[in-house]
Amino acid sequence: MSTAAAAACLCGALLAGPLLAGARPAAAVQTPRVSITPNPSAPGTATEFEVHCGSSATSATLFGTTLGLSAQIPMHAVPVATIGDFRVTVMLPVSIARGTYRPSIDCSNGFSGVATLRVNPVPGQGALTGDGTTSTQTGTPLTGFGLGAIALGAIAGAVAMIRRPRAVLTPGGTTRRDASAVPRPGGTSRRDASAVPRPAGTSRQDPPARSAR
Amino acid sequence: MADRGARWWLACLSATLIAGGAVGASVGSRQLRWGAPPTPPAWASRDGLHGKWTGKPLARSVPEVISIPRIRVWAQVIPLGLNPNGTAAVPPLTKPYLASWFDRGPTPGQHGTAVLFGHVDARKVGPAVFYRIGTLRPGNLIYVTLRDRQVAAFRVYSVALYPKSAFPTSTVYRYTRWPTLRLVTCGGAFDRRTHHYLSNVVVFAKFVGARG
Repeated sequence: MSTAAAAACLCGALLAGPLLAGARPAAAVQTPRVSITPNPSAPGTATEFEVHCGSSATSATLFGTTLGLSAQIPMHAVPVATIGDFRVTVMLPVSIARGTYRPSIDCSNGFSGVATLRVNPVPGQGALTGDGTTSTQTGTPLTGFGLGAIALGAIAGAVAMIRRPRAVLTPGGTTRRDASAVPRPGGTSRRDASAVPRPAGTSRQDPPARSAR
Repeated sequence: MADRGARWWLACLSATLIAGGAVGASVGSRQLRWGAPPTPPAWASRDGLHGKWTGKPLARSVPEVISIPRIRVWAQVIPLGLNPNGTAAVPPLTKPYLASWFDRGPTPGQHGTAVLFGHVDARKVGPAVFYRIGTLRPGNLIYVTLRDRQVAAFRVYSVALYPKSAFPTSTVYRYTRWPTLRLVTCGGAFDRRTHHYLSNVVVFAKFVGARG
């Protein structure tokens, strides 16, 4: 009994081995080659599906339900590629969530495959790239030049004020203007000898007194 | 007599300097120090992506340096993704001369659209790395050095200003068979209440070749 069972198993294995080995290439042939560009893709952007069904295929269909698209999306034959290539570009919904999606693709010759698409979000709004410094900060170099000119003007004004002549009281009761006049202890200045009082009590610049004498 | 003349001239000089300085300081203090970022004219955005791409795209390689001779930009590029609030991550304002590459998309030279961000200004320096990209015009060249030491060259074909409230995500990030590049920075009017610019300047460029 056990010998018969063992023989049956052996026969089964011998028969099934070639069958399984033969089935493997057949399954590979019936699975079309699928490519997606770009992958990962982003919500709201165009995504292209391309399938190679083999030369016996005349059409192909993308099943877009899992992506939130139409149930059946016909694919177009690629005019310049090898026979049996089909392509379609779809616009992913803006609301599609991030993740991995596996929509099916069927070929007219009975082949069927699954595309694996990863969806990554893109920035939903504009970028925040700046703090407004160049649009708000005032103060050109002209400000510095202006302040410098004011300072120079003030210095020049101060110098002008310092050089202003002092009032020198002459003995005759009149005043004379001479900024550089430095009164000497005797009431005379170094630069103006005429300011020295004369013995008669008059100065040289006092013609009326002289004429009166 | 000579002293009196000198005093007179000093007084005149003083008055002139003070008056002129006051006017200069007043005007200067009210003027913008650098001026608002340049805004592209409408005509610069009219040219589209024409022609059919027949070349070979580059392999994926992370961008490291961007160079724009027309506006004297040479900047390092770092990869960044998204902020938790869904906005594009950008370099910190303390590093205003860095650009960033949106690492969820293709690299420069691959099929699709590679996107680089950069600041327009920052308090630390005033004008930042992408301050002058609004002055780029169709035909200008942009070079991106990749990690594999190849240098991808791109030619500008459009420059546009888009309000952030209606930012054309599908236009900026859309897939293109021709490898393309986008430079994005802030621009337009500045909102002092929110402390943000109201628009984005976007430069569109297409891949024209590589040397390595």
